[in-house]
Amino acid sequence: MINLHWLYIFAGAVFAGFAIGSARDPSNAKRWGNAAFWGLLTVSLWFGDFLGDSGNGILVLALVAIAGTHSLGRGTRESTTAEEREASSSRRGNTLFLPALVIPFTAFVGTLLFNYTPLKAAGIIDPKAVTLVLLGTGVILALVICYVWLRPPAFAAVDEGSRLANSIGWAMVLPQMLASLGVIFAAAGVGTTIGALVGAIIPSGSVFLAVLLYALGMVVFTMIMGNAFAAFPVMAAAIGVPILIHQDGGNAGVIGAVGMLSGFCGTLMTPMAANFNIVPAALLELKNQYGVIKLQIPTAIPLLIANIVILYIAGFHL
Amino acid sequence: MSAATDNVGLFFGEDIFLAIASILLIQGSLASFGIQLTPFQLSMWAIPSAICAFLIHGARLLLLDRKLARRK
Repeated sequence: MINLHWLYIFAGAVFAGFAIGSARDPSNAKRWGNAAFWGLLTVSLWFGDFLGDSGNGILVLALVAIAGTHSLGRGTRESTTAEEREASSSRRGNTLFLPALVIPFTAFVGTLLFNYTPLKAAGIIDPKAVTLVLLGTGVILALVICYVWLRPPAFAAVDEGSRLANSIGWAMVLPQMLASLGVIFAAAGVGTTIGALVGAIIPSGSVFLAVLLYALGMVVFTMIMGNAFAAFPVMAAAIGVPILIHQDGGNAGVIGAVGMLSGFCGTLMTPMAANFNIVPAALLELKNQYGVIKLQIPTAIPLLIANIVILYIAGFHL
Repeated sequence: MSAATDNVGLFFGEDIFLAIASILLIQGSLASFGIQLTPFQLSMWAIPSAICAFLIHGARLLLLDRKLARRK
């Protein structure tokens, strides 16, 4: 049966490709730093199960050390020239975007087909991982289509993939890092402490109050930590799971998804989310470095109210 | 001002986009509490908020457009 482990091996192979592509690029003075960074991620995806908690922890610290000592660089080499790309795009026009659309299409239609045809009973794909397995399948399919159709140089996928990965740099693993931070907070008991506090404040049975505190908690924690990804595990442990889902019997899908989106409203209002809110203000040379946030607040607050209403209605009354 | 508003619109692309990473994070965190969900069940419930985001921010942009038109 194809399960998540296959996907970890595939994702590891992609990062191995980034490592090889980075090492192959002599125009990048720091190429060995990049190769080590992506190589470590490959190790984590392929052998993480065997490394144990301490081993994986050391691996993460090594990643931070590489990024923190500015050992990541980017090259200037490209696998095709600007003229070649110009010619290719004027010849093929917007059909060039088709391979990119193949990926979500495969994941989406594939999941529907899987669920409503006998495929599910055939037992080829683990039902719990089906969307992700099909996403991976879509990527492979798109890659094959590109090679057959466009006939790029043999190493184009690896070289261009690592060029993209290196231009994003360490920020690519930021979501995972922040999520781990949230998990550490939750493991340290921040979530359960808040949960106990909240449980003491709200009279049991007041669903609306619990929803309100959950959404506002997401906003406040997101504003403090700068990212909803870090806030989610904490608030899920505090209110989402014990009170809203278990005690009050709310719809877990709604609580999860809309809870996260309430956190995004917090992202719009905090200078801690520097990459979204402060950097653009600097790039646009605004006089007020908080100019972008100021404009986002009037959207964020009504949106937060809408999210609270959705949480309450869809989570408990549908 | 219009450049910054353009920028706000850009962020909402981010907010509306059902970033697969955030869906997976929700799925993973809830799974650690023993609640099994598929990405589908989660992304489905992100749609109402996305619609609200579009309406709220679209309305603000329309208002701004009017204001700018009046100023001329």
